[in-house]
Amino acid sequence: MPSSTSSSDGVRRLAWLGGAVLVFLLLNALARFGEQQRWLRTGDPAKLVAQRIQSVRNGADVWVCGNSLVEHSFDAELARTLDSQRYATVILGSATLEATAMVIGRALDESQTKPRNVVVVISKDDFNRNGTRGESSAQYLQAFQPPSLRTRISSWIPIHELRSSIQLRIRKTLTSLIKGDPRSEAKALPPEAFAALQSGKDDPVWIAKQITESYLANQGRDFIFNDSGVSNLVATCRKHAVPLTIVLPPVSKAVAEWHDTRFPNQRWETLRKQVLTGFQQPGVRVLDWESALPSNPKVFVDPYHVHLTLRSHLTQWYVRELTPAPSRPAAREDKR
Amino acid sequence: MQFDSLAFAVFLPVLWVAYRLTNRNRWVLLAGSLLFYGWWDWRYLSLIVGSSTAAYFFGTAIGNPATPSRRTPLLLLSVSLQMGLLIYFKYWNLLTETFLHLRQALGGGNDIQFARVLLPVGISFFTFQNLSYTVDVWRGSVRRSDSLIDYLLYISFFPQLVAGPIERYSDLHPQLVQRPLATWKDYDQGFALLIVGFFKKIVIADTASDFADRVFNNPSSFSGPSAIFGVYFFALQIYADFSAYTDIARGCGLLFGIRLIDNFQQPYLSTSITEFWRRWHISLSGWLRDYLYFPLGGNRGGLARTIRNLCITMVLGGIWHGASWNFLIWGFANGFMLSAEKLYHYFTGHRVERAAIGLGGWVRRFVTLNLICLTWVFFRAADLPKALVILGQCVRIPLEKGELLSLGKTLEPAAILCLLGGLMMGHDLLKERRGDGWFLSLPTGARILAAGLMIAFIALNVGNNQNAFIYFQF
Repeated sequence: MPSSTSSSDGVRRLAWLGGAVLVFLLLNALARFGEQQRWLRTGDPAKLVAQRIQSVRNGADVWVCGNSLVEHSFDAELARTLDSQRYATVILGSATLEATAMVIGRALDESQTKPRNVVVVISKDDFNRNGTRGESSAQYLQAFQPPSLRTRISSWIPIHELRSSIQLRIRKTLTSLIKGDPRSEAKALPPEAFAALQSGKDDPVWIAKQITESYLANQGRDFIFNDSGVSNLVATCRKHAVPLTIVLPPVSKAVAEWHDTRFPNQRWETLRKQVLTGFQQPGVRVLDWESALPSNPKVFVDPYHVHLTLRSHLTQWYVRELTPAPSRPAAREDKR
Repeated sequence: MQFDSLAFAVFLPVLWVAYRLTNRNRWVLLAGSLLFYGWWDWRYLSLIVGSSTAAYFFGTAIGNPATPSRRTPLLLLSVSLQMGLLIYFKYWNLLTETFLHLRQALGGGNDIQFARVLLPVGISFFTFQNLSYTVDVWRGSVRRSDSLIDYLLYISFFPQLVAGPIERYSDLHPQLVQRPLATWKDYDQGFALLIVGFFKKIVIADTASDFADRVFNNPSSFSGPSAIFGVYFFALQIYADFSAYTDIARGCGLLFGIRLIDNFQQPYLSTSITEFWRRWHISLSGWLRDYLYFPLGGNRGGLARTIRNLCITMVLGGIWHGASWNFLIWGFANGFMLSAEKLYHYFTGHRVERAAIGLGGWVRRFVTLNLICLTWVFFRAADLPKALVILGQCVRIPLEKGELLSLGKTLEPAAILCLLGGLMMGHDLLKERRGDGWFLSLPTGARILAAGLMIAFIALNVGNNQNAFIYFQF
């Protein structure tokens, strides 16, 4: 230590640094607490996958798996009231097809009873090997590999380990400060939403606006069709002798139109046919609802996601298709 | 070795402890510095040691009072050697490609192949230091070095080795010979600089680069506000990135008791291009002024000569960054604007930056910043056609259906730009008002909270979209 000045001077001078480290440690403790309380998504890949498959590990008849599209189109609680089967969801935010297949494989390995049906809800961007989802999915895939040195070090610093979740929270807060919370907007919409559903009209102005203003995944990236994801998913379910149902959920026309503008030589309709052909295999059923809803702002919160309030409506579609034929319920009116 | 790497996080404390345990031994510092450089590619250690050793012996011979007649030829030989190395490593690929293109155009075959040369990190910086040393010895403004080890340490001292500041021999060498004990004040300021520097790099520059890269890598997909955002994001990125490197370098230096010069003095608060170049990359501007502009005649010899000298200096400064049309245009654009200000001063008798206070001052700052941003397009774009596309896209009105207007959600980048830009602006205004020790002048509570939050944000962002420091490529 410097001899020219006393150590008490040093302590006084560098006290702020100690204080800063203390603030940092407190923030880390807060982040860990947030993770335990499930306010923040865990950053430990193994823990994350374990959390995600917890709901199906103890046994459910139908597993509905996929990314945020599941959250916006299916309500497991409501499904249980409409059908005698036990429904459970596995929501893997931003997961690619490969990651989804691996997680489903682990869940099937670990579950005490095999499901009657595995339903996977996927959309256009899950088929892109080159998209941003590939990066987002890395966390799921890491759960299947031994932890790297970086992962082990980051587990000592909760803020770093939970960074994706914290950053997402910050971004969402920022966005809601500027634009308002889209979910609160969704809650206020049911009557108009249902009216719009019945009218069945597209809103071309809204579609154009979404194409120009909304963030659509894979911006600036080429679309490289992920055919191995398709075969991996089919192989996983076949290995466990579980039937697979693929759902292409309703998305707005802005998705396809944006894609066709960006990739004129690789039109979405062509790729879609490739997807449908890829899944034309024994034991696999495809429910193609992609264009089932009108593309307008009363129905869609953004180009991919329907308003949360329409979940009840779409849940009935799932139940109608997934209930075994003899016990299939008669068409029921919407309860919500 | 990158400052923002795990290896450096281990290297710095280990070297510091070794340095202190050996009573500030110069060999330890030299070995550590060479390890820092060799971590990138050990084969290039011979280059830095070889060129520096040559510069040392040339300096010794040039400064020998017994042989005055040999001084100038030896200087020319030394400059040729250093410039030859720089040209070979920096411009060889371009020269050979141009030669092959010309040969093909003239009907020659494509049977000749040249090996591609990998640019050694930091070559532009240590070559300039070697050059300035020999020129200074020749001018008699510094005494020749008595020790090769001390000279090698001057060139390779790790904080400034890879991306500057381009330290002058007269400033750094005496400190490295003396190797003073760091005081508590040095540690105090050193840690503050390290925290602020890492925050600027990892939080501000790396976040801004995510948006800037999207626009510059795919310019035709963005137009109107998105393209303009991309340019502003790059302006923010390059400033935060490069000034962060200087802050970290200075912070590291202070932990070893060594003071390095401040390379940036709030350049985006400049009210004229002339002032901008006094505040931006000060060590390079000073080097170009002392070793190029002044020898060309500077502002002596009338207006026309001054303008010629300015343009030559800035164009060569541009080409120093790389062999491309973009850097040439970037240098020329700056030379042109500096010349325009000289002309304004000549005809009106007023300096452009005279009204730096009040609303007029802020208008001038805004105009200067935007002119600089315009030149950054050439600096950042991969090639000239892409630079022109971006400039075209900036003035395009994005209302057509199918137009890819947005950079993410339209308002999100605007909010992030305002937030990050606001942080940099706040930093600059505080530094402008309170000087270099601005962070330590904050009330203790604010300092603790600010530092704690900065460390937390560094931990939050590290590893996210992490890029090498921009000036590593030069």
